[in-house]
Amino acid sequence: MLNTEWSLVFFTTISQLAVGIMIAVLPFVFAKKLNQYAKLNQTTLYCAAGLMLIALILSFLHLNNPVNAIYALSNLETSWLSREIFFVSLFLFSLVLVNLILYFKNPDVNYYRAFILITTIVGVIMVYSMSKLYVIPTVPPWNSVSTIIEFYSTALLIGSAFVLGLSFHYGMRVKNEIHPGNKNNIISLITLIAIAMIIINELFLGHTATEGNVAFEPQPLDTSIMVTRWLTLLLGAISLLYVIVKKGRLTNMRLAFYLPFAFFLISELIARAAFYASFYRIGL
Amino acid sequence: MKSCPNKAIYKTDEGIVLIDESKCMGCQYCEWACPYGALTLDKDKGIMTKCTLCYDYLAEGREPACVAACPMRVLEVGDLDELERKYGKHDNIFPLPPVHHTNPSIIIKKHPSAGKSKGWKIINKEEV
Repeated sequence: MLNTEWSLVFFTTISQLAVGIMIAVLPFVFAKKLNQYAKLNQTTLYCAAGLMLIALILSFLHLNNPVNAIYALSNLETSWLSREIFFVSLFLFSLVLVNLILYFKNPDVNYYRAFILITTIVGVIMVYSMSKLYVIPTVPPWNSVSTIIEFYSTALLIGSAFVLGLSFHYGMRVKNEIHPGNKNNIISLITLIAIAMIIINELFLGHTATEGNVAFEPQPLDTSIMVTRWLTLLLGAISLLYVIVKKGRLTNMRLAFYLPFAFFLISELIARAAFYASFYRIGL
Repeated sequence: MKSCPNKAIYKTDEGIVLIDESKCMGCQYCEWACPYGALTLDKDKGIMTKCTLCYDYLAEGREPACVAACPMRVLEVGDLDELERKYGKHDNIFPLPPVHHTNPSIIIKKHPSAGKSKGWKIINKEEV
């Protein structure tokens, strides 16, 4: 159906999910009553590390000669792919280290916050390097700021939806409401900002910076693919609103908390598959 | 060369771009970055390959195989300055990428149809 790079679709989406999770958990990490969120934060960190490990394995599936991956950091000065590989490795290393420190030691709260914040910053830089490697002048559909925004909006959308589901899952039921309401509002806001970024990006920011002869015209994408992408995004938004409004009454069916995340994930996977399928090159 | 994370693509003193097979990991990023479609994946070896300009033949003082084989004698290999004196500078030719982008070490005498870049399509893809 779609001629795309499936290993890269899953690698980029899953690693961006890990970064999004780290961003979305920050309000809980910097909350005054930190102990209240200890389980949520710990689960989130485990998930982020596990996801990055899966992403790294998937990235190797794209390589035709993975043995030579040991040379992949040779060209940090000019190759964005080299930089991406560096930051992917650093982010995973940092996540594993933070998890190990938190598992075996109980660090001071300031160190705890600093470790998580630094790891998140590494992740944010990783997404930037990951997006920049596609912004190349030979590929018109990718050579725009839209690619960078797309990668960040994916991270924010699915990361925040996942943490929101998790926080509702672990939240305590207090008078038909799920505690803590204020933190969940911040996370919901991140999700809504990400949706707005996706819509603005799609409507206004896709102009390519490349001009040049194109020998082989690209095959247009099947309309049904993009219809499915926007429909799942809409369903995600509707289910998000439903969960926010009805959260107190959903405590007996906790899987429902992850419904927005599931829709958003499907939507972003389709969008990413379409991104790779849109490839064509100037010249020959 | 700039895109390759492994520094597996290099240029010889003679200006020939080659691939170091012992370093290539077959990520195909160079294939995206090259507007000449010069790099292709060798699926058996799992690494990228490209024209070597028959550098081993050149070292022996022989012509590259394509130059020697061309029945119409339209190919010539040599020093770029010398070729430019003979044939002039390379121009923007459809469907090749723009000169300002690639600064190519190749000169092609333009066919009258090759200047009409807009609206032209290649239909015999297999032959290109």
